[in-house]
This record gives sequence, structure tokens and C-alpha cells, in this order.
Amino acid sequence: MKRNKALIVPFALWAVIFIVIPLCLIVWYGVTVEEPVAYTEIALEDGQTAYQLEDGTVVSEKPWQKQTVVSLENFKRMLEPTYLKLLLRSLKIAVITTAICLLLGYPVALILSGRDFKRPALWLMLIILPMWMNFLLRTYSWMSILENSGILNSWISALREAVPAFDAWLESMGVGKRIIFLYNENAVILGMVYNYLSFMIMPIYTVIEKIDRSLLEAAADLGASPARSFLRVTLPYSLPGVLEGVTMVFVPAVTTFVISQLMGGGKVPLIGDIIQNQFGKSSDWHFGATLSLLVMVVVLAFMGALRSMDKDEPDRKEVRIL
Amino acid sequence: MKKLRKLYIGLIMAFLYAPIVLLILYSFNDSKSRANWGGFTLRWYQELLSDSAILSALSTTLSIGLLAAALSTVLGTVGAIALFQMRRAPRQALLSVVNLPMLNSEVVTGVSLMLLFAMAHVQLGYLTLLLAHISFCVPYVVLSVLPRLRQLDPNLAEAAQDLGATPLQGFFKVILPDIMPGVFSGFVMALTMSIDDFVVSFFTTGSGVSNLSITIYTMAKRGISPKINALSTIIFGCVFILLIGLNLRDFKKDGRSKGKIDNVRIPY
Repeated sequence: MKRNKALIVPFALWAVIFIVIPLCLIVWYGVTVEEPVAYTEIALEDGQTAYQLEDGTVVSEKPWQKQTVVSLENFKRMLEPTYLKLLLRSLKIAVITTAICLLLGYPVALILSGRDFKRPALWLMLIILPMWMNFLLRTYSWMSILENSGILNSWISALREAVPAFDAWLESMGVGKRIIFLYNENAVILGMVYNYLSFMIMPIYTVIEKIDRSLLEAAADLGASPARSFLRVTLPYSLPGVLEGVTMVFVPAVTTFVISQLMGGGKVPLIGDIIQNQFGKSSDWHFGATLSLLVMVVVLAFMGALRSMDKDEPDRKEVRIL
Repeated sequence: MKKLRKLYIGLIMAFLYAPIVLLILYSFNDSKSRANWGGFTLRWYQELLSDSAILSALSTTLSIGLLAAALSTVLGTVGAIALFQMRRAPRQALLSVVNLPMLNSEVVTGVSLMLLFAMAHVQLGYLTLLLAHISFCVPYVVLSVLPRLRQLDPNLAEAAQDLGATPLQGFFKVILPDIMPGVFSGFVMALTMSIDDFVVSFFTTGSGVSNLSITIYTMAKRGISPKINALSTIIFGCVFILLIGLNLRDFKKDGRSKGKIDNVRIPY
């Protein structure tokens, strides 16, 4: 293909305007604060007051303008225990969510890539399909399953009436008439696992599907048990998919603000909720930008750590079966 | 063992589809409350047709989705070709810039674009929503077109030009048909992402312009109207039929449709 330098212009322009500049703006807003313009009052001879600004100009009205000053104030504020706790909670919930998605999702990818199902692509499509229903609606639907007067509770109480022994057992466990499922950390985790599970299954499946089947046959021929050939062939080969899946679940899980608001009912605020607040109700864009920076750094550090793990992997071309 | 494995897949499917089945049921429920079943009705589907707020949100979602997907496909394809022609070092640099929005969380993307529009004094509304959607869709298009370009036989374009085709003709007659699958999957991905997006839209829209996600978010605080359930059921049904149709066709072709999966990448 002949090189055509002109093609790069619109694209690079787009990258600068919509990627580079916005990120620079976050940094700029993050390291600045707005404060009232500094001034000194001067008593004039006729008894009135004038105001002198720092640059020497004198105005007769009290200055109302605000000025943007570089300050690390917001970084100090960010390190307050309140916000650190929120960040830690977000990280904790994201880690748990990612782990559950991996535990639930890996077997799905493994089974679908095996020979049990004649049409794996069809099943895979069925796994992606729910994403076509708005995720807010699906989360909301979970709420109607789990709420106090929801479906799960009405089933449980019906079962209790039908089976007195079950009722007695629950009572001995100290379970009330209505079980509270919603508005706690577990509910938030459930909501996230539900929303992000397919993100974990897809990349793992794609990688396992591509593993050369003759390797597994060779392993079996050489006397490896199925468990051993899984540990020595399938698992190491699938790691890139696992890493991609972990990323795709972890990143949105750290920063979500919708799921925590719905499933947590505002009782489990996460760092994303606080960022959203800064651009809405509390309207402190500078602090919001500082928090966004924090989230960005945490996410990038996490990805960096993952990438380096990927490199530490032994050369996957060399397969050690025994 | 085999039964156990099938049971496991069944359970996961039940987990994934339980809330969806419930939603579909509610769309036929003749009672506003979610707690009880008031009998079968189509009334929400009828009322949907006269609900201007929901219909306008739907048309915003669709028009933004199609426009953003089309424009980002053009920009992303041009970008992929430009990247492909660049030397290694600048290409790596530009590529990592392009990848940034995919690595960044949606919140950061949304906030950063909002700050951009504020700085440029652009009133938040339809235009900013569209620009924001284009900008988060482009990287996905680039990433789905680039691999196709790498598979391209470089001799083909040269042959076309040797035979007297102008570069433009060469592009449309030789290169584009070859990379079309990548372009198409980029378009579909962009469309999907745009239609499903909530977070970036939340930060970049204003002046009363809202898409379905935002409408639902505002509703969720007061209670979601069954009309939204009806609309989602229709959308879900259409996509379901479309995808099953496409897939069944592939299955007839080659029993175990393999390569297809490679193109699936999920947006988040």
C-alpha cells in the first residue's frame, strides 16, 4: 500500500482533542482549586471603600471573582480517612467480584469449549445476549427479586408455611420472617457479578478454544491424567484470557456508581459514587478531578501489575507436560 | 460427569436469565406493583406508543447509536489505515494513546469529556452526547480493523495500481472489501457500546436530552414504569431473533461454527 501521510492528520487530531486534552484537563483540574480573588480594602477619603487586587488595580465594588490556583489541597483531602476507606471498600468489593466471576466463569468457558455441547457458539451467544437488555433494568429486576416483599422472600415464606420443619429450622437459626437481601455489600457484589460475568467468560473461552487439541491428546497419550493435563496444558495456555477477563471485570467494578446505588441503596457508597457527586450535587469539579486521577492511577497500576505477571509466564511455546 | 457439567451451564444460564424473564413477565402484568400478578395484559405496550418521553429517549438512543457507530467506523478505519502505514515507533506511541480510553474506566472518560466541553464552552446536549459516543467508540473500531490490515496481502494494492487504478479506486475495490469483516464488526461493536452506555452519557448530556439509559436511571429512583419493561422486551426480542437467525445460518454451513467467536469482544 502506498503511504498516504494525509490520512494521519484527522485521526491524530481526533486523538489529541478527545483523548489527550481531556486527560490533561483532569490533571489540571485535579491540581488546582478555586478560591476568591485576594484583595485589600482601602478606605477612601470620602468615606467609601475601594478594593485593591493583587495586581495593583483598584475597583470600587467588592471583588466576587474566583481565581484558579495551583494547590495540592485536594490531594490532602483525598487522603482523609473517609475517602481512603471508600477507596479500600471499592477495591475490596472489586477484588471479591473479580474472584467470584473467575470461579464461576472459568468452568463455563472450559465446559463450552469441550465436547458436551454441539453448538458452543450458540451457547456463547446466549451468554452475551443479556447484555442487550439495558444493564440498569437488569439490575433493577434483581432488586424486585431480592427486596423484602420480593419474589425470593415470598417463595421462602410459602415454603415455610408448607414445611413446618424448615420454618422451625430457620427460626432456630435466628432468621426473621423477611430476610433482608438488599442494601448491603453482598447485594452490591451480586449485582456486579451478574453484570460482569460475561466479560470474564468470553476472553477465557476465546483462548481455550484456540488451544491446539493435539497437545491435550499428546498429554493423554503420555499418560497424564485429565487433571494433570488441565494443570499443565489448558491452565497455562488460558492465562492470557484469564488476565484479559480479570481486567475487563476489575476496571468497571472499581469505578461503578450505578450498581452500588441501586443494590446498595446508598448504604454502600463506592469511590465512583463520590466522583459522581462532585460533578452533581456537591459540584466540586476540582475535587472530582482529583479523585478521578486517583482512580486512574489505581487502575493503571493494577493493569501494570497484571501485564508484568503476563511477562513472567514461562514461554508458552515450550510446553512441559511432565 | 457430563450431566453435572450440563447442569452447571444450566444453573449459570438460570442466573443470567432470571431477571430478564422476570422483566418480560412484568411487561405483561396488569398491575403497576412489582409485588403481585394482576393478570395478563398488553396495555403497557399500547401505552408505550403514546409515551412521548420514552419514545424520544428511544429515538435519541437509536440516532446517537447509528450516527456514532457510522462516524466512528469511518474515523476508526481511516485511523487504522494511517496507523498501519506508520513506522513502528510513532505507531506504538499513537496506538497507546488510542488505547487509553479502553484502559480508563468509563467514569474517567466521562468526566474528562465533560471538562473538555466545559472548557470549550459547548452547551451539553445532543451534540456533546454524540461527540462523546464517537470518541469512546473509535478505539474499538481501530482495534477490530487493524488485525485485518495485517492479514492483507501488500501486493494486492500495488497490483491494482500497476493495472492503472487510482489510489482511491485501489482502496475501494481492493482494500476495503478485504478488511470489510473487521470494519463491520467494529461498527456492530460501536453500535452496541453506544446503545448500552450509561456512564459516559450521564456526564456528557444536558439540556433535557436523554437516552434510554438516563431515562431509566432517573426513573429507578421513583419506580420504573412497566412501559419501559415493554420496550425492553421488544428490543430484546428483536435482537434475540436476529442473532439466533444469523447463528443458525452459520451452523448449517459448518456444523461447529468456530472462527465466528474470534470477532466477539465485549464492550464494558
